[in-house]
Amino acid sequence: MSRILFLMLHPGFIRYYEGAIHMLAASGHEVNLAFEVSRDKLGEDVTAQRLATSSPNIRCEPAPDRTESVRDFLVRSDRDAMRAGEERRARPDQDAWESLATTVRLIEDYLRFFEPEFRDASTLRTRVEKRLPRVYPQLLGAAARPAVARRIIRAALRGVEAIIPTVDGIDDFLRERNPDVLLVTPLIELGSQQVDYIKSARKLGIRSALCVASWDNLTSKGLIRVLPDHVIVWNEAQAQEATALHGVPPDRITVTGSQTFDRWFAMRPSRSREDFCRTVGLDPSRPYLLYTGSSVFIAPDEVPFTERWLTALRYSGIPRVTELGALIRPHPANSRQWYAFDSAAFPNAAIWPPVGTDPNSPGFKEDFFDSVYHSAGVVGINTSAQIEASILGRPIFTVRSPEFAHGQEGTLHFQYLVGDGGVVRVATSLAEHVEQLDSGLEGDAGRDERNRGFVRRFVRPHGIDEPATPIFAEAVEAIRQLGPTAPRPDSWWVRAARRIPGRSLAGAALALAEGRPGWVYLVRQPMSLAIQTAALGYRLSDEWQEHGRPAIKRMRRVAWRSWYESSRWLGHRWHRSKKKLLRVSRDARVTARRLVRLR
Amino acid sequence: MTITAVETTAGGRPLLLLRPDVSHPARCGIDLVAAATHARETGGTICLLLHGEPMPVSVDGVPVITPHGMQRIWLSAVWRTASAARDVRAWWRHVEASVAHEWRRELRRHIGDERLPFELRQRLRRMAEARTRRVQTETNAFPRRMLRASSAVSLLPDFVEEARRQLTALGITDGRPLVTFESRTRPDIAAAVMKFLVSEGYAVARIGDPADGVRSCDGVVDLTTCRPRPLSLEMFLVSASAFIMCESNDLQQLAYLTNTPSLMINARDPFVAYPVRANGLFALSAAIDLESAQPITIGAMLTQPYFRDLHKQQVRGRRRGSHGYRDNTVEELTHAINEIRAGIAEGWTSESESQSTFRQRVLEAGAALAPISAHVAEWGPDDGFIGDGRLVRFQADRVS
Repeated sequence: MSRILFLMLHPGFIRYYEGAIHMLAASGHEVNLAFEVSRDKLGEDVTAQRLATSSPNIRCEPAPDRTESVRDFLVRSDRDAMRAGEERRARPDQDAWESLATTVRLIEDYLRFFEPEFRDASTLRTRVEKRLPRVYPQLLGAAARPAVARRIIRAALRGVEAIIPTVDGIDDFLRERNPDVLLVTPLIELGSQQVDYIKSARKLGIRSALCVASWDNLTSKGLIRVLPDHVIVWNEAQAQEATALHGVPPDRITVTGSQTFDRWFAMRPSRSREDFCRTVGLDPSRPYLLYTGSSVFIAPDEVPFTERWLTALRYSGIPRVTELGALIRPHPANSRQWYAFDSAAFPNAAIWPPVGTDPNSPGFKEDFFDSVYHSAGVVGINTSAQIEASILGRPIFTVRSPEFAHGQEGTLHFQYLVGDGGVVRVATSLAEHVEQLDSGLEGDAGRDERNRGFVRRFVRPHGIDEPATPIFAEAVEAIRQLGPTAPRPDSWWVRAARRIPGRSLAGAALALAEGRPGWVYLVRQPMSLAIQTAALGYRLSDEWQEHGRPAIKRMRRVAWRSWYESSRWLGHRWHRSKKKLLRVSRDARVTARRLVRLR
Repeated sequence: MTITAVETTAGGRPLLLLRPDVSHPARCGIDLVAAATHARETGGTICLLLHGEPMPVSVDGVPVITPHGMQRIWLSAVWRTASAARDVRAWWRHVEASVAHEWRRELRRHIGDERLPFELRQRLRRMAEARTRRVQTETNAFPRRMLRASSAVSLLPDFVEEARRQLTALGITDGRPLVTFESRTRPDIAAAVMKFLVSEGYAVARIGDPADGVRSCDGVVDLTTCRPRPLSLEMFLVSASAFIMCESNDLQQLAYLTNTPSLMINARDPFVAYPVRANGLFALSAAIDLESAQPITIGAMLTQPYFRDLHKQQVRGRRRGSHGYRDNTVEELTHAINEIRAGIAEGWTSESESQSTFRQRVLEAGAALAPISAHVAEWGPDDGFIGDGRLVRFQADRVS
């Protein structure tokens, strides 16, 4: 029995690999899933629990804790935050190294969006810029424009990445689990710390592979900063992206197809069209269009556009389009905004599933399938639901709109939908879109062929009837059979560089991660010194109040008492001596008188 | 949003140097009206330093001059110097505020350190608070008081003729009263409202975004594609309108220049939208709390959490806020249109008690929020004055 360790950012990634995990477990592999962060926004933790109970060969557990996670890093660099007591916690070296690692990786991600292919992707660049402490974009904003400068900076960053040590906790974790293969996804999150797992695996001789989870992963997020031994991608387009944009040698890439969509080929509608329409609140006698919502990055404010879209349909003056029903399917992670949508204002329009529906609830996937299956066509801004619609052979439409330019032209993966060989018909205005709907909803052999071609190329590159899940499982098995790699411990220069310059860099990165102006760092030490001096004064004062003054008081009291006692004693003695003297003198006087009388 | 005028003297008389941004009609309007008020108070003259496009206005009761030759060069130099000094002052204030903010953050690092003596931490806390109090960032407060009195600003006759000719060419004739309608609202609502206006005998000039999906009907002249419109045309359009319906502040502010009654719809911010003049009305959008999916009351739109969320969305560029908005419905807008028509007919005398109560509430909320919200300090009450305009009656009644 072999051991496969599958590291995921959070349990939400299970949905991309659920079938493959089951298949690997069923064929006798022990699949251990580790999650860097838990997440229950969309009930992902429930999915993990369900998966863990489905097979004795599947285990889910959290990955080792990080002392300075990317989240901590971002929270610390929040420019408006006012946190008290930062001085209280002594920051160990590990924090500094992790800060340096996150900084270096974020800068690399930032630099990639200066490349010519991302010239329209200013929003993607801004997204990274917001995460970086402000000093870096200020320095790099102009410096990184020439390609030569970018190459030099990137080489320097790679050098810094090399001297960042592996995390002891991760080394121990990997040693304990001792996997035959380490699978990592998504690895390309901005500033991702999953890189440390790849580094640890290299050091310990564990074979590693990156599993590219989704179609936009290699173009709209960060870089693969440290190359794993293998990269598993969906299709040739992603293989080219991996090579051209991430520098992955072609011999490390395996194309498996998209296992995520396999169920779409196997599923059948769970109910008739009439039943479905009645359930969702649409007129069953009329065809309907499915509007598929996009993610928050692509379409943060989608409701006004949808209202315009619906009005354009209703007032198109083309009976076939006017009478179309409209079913709106909010993106599960961007659904809240639809609370503001007034579906009552648009006859024969409905939102389904209702906003806030748990994506893990029974029937959620079936509902989605039915929504696409029974629709006459699918409309969306830029979403993977358009790929799903292509699998079911539905006509797919989009409208270019200025408010979504960053999510359409501003992303490279949009071109797969609308470029050569794409399946989505693009309109530049709602009027053109309405005309496209009028002509495009009819059955069309050319469109069917285009859809099939796209699916064959993009989803199932090994053949439209070849499910991707077994191919993915075979690819993992093949990687496992290659056996462990030779451990690659750090070279002497890396260890040497780590000692002095590395530590200094790490300390600087930790300090700069706060994103404060330069003068703050200059005054910080003198200010701390002044405050510590003042604290010493206060402590001395306290000591004085607590011990010094009472001691003096006691001493004064003792002195007074001594003086008092002694003076009393002296007085007493004097009094007694005086009495004695008086008595002596009286006796002497009496004696003298007697003597006189005797004479 | 303060006036960019510079005060100087010429021959012992106050002279107000003004360089209005002709490319931005609203800002230009605010500058002119505020400068006119100031010039009237001081008995001064407005001196326009224009760049290219001539300023097509005259202000009643205030001499307006346009210098030429050496005089212009000299006055431009004066204006530039004063503007530069003002910019430096503003920069310095910003630096000061930034330093105070960072200083406070540094102190807070130690204030929370429990190893330090309690008295010292208390003292540091007092220092941090005192530092923040001392440096209050000066906001460019919207000069509500200066805009209160209607300045009789009118277009110069030559420009009137030219603008009238242009509008006639675009299809707007003098036959029917005109309503300028700026639509960003839901297209179906905009279409229904324009239809209602036409049925009430108005001609409608639609401006705004050409891609808003609104379909025009008879009686509606679509000016959305006629852009950029020269200032004279924009001003004439607004001044020739019986009233304007708008969603943007820019148009509402331009209406102050021409003293045109305005109805602002789908407002999200009661302070920004509150009309300065008595002939202004506004209607608030229905805000929905996206956590609970429940509508929030208009009263809740005057609270700090609401403004914090709005600020995060608008200023800090957060992609999602905690609130969603539903546009005013056709029925609501019909009510509002009837109210503005009644106001125009009756001379804006019939303010309901609920409307004046709401104004009071806005004033109170403004006073409470201004010290803690720069946004409210900028757009809120100006020395205890929020505006003579009002919230539409059906909403004000709902609040009370």
